[in-house]
Amino acid sequence: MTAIFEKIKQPGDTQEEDSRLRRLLSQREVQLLLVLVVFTLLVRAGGAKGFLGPTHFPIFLSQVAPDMLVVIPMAMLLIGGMFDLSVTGVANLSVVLVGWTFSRLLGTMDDTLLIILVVAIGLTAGLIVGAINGLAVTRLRMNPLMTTLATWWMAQGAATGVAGGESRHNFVGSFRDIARFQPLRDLGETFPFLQEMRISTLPMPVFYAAIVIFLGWLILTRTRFGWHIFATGSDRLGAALNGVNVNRVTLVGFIATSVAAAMCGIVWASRLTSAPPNTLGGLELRVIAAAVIGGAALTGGEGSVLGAVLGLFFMHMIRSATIQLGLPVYWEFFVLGAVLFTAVAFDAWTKRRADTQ
Amino acid sequence: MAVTQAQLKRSGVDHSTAEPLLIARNISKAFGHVQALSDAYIDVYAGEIVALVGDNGAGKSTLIKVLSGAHRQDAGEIVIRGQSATINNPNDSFDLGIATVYQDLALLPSRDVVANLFVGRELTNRGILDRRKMTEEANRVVRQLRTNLPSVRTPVRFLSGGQRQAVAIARVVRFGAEILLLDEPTAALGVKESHEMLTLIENLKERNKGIIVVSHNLAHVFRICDRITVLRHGETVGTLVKEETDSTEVVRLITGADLL
Ligand SMILES: Nc1ncnc2c1ncn2[C@@H]1O[C@H](COP(=O)(O)OP(=O)(O)OP(=O)(O)O)[C@@H](O)[C@H]1O
Ligand SMILES: [Mg+2]
Repeated sequence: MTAIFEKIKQPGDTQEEDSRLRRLLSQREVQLLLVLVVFTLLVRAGGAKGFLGPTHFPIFLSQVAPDMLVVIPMAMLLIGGMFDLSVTGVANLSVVLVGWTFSRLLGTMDDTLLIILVVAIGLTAGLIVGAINGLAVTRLRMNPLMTTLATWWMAQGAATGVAGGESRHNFVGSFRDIARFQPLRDLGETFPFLQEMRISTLPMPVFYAAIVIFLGWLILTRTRFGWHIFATGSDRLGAALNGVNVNRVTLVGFIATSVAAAMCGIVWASRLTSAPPNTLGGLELRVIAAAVIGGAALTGGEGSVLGAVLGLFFMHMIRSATIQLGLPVYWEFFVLGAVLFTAVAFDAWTKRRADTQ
Repeated sequence: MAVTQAQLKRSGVDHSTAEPLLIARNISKAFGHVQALSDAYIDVYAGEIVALVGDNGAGKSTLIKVLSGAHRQDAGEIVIRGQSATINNPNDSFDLGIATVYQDLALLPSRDVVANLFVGRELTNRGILDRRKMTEEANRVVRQLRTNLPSVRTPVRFLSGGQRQAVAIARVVRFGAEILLLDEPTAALGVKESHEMLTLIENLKERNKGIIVVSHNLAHVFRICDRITVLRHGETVGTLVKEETDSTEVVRLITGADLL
């Protein structure tokens, strides 16, 4: 069998050290991290001295956090060979349902109970849309692009319909805690360094995001289900022939993404204590682009949680750099587009190079 | 179309007391208007290689897929080790001790050799993937096959056709299945690699596996198999013992030309 398993030529095979460095540098996550560092240094040199500094960083984290809830399951969905356009609609529907429920039931029951009910209603809306997406794509073999475009519009339309042109502001006061509570505040008083590093002022969404990142990483790299996600995205038929339940992978992926989008909406409603049906905009493209910049393949089978995290960081860094450097915000989209273009072009280039090797 | 004991004796395998590992009889399967299988029969004993031959579209791959759980037959019976078996999905087939290498290999291009060897059958330790054990075992299987991959962490996308074929075979070997179904294992290989693959299949036979090999290459068929089952238009037209036949007769059975 020696010839069948003929040695594959690898650059730098003879020099172990060299090859290890190259392999490290060929990882998307490492490349992206380097880009982020260089970008930060450039922005600081360009005049925004506090960019991602100790004052800015905690604020930056809490700005990224709601999107982070969605980018992780979206990356997993992409790795599994699918994607979901409906997240903005789902998030807005969740926002509006939260506002509507509060305005109807405020005062009729205990506040804590009401908050639990409101959150449950928001998340259930996500669960339902996710299940519809997943079942349509697996059972009815509908095209995921068109299916989730349709459910996006339906969810968004339902959100506008339920809102009926009103933004509702009758929120239970403690509902704000979902987005604003700072769980480490007390700890900061006993350990001053936490306060100095502004860790004690981090609000809840940062912790939700941390949990989602950890769970996403754990599932994707350490569980059979995670490997089944990769297998499904790599070759759906091949995975199925090997006993992978590909339809379950897809269904769970759609549900997780939609529930996360609903959670994102709840966080926004809590932060704004207001529930207009256009609270979120462009969420779907932001998270899909972030996952792709982070190395998730639109064709499935490739990608990572860390890549998605860094990709989303990059998207938000561009946004805040534009503001901090005082550049006209109109240009933000141009830069985002250029970055996405570069990432996709780079991807295509590495694939072409690998194929000709 | 079962073989007589006398024929079996001559095939070099002593089955006088044994029963077949696998029998599939009266199998039919239609895809819409296409009757892929109408009355297919095949059986295989432990320690023998049965070649499944037939023209393009004769239904060979379909029969393999019925046995591997990729398709459910419309009618017909499958008997495994003397017991009637129902195979509704690939996991049923695995559980009955059947492992399959498909014509198109069914590998995961973006995943490494380890992930490909264990897909659908990953090893876990308290719910968490045991990646070290899987890597060790992958290395062991690759060594056992006297193979020489640079690293079991290489994505299959980067492997040559022959190497991919070897990964697909390694997967089957690792399962430790008793019944192996190989759909055109040499089709993508050059002369030297084909030779090595055939030797590997013969080694597996030595380990007392029951092997069904689909092939269009009669030279390969005559080199390794004990019996030859011929499928024509979805129907088994006959099973020949290698020592009693030659390629002209097999070709006639395949094409349906007169056997005078
Ligand atoms: N999934 C399917 N859907 C529809 N028709 C199919 C399907 N699979 C096989 N067929 C048809 O069934 C018949 C038998 O196909 P099969 O692949 O079993 O032939 P084969 O003997 O393996 O041929 P080859 O030597 O070309 O591999 C063909 O007419 C084929 O077109
Ligand atoms: Mg075939």
